[in-house]
Amino acid sequence: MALTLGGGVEAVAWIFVLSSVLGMVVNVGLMVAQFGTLALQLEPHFCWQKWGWRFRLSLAGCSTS
Amino acid sequence: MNSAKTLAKNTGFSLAADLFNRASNTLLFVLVSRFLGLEVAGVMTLAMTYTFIANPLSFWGLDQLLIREVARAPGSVRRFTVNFIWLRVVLSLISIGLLRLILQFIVPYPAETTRIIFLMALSIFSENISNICQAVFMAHERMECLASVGLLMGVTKLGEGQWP
Repeated sequence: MALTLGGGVEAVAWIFVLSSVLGMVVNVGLMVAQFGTLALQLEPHFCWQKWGWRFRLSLAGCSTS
Repeated sequence: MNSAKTLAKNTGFSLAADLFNRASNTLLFVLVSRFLGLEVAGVMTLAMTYTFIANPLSFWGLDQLLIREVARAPGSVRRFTVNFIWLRVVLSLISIGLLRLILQFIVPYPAETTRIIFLMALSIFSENISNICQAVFMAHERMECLASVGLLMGVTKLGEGQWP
């Protein structure tokens, strides 16, 4: 056993990190499988508004008014 | 399925997911303190505490926002997910960087302890992405996905602890 054979504290830390990474991979995989492909594109854009240039996510798009 | 059944199903799966995670963490800590000693368990507790503090700093409530908006308009799931994942990537890198600076200059620990804390902090990145995916499952009331991943992670964590 990693713990009994003196894998040490670093081994335990790696256990947490690796299981977390595995969780991420499975979560993303499940999400893509359930809800379609994940478009790997970033959609932020800069909009000129009366307060100046501002970063906005395209959740609502830029206001043209 | 009526509301009561849906509520019971969702609550049950959500509870199961949480329980799997907590049970595996607790069991792993029992094994650590039993086989590796209290000093190692102390270092692990410290590292986990820093990670748990840094995690919400990078969450920024985006998961709650995603659940609310996607539950209201399921068609917007891709747009929210993609943007929030990118935001989380940036926020988690900032969190990890800040933690590194704090450990380096404000709260210095012995070199090995610092290394362990930083190593554990790397999981902030994957936890952030997982959290967004889980929010998507919650928004669509797919709690069985949460429970499945929780179970898999718990088993993996304990399995890795037993690996020769």
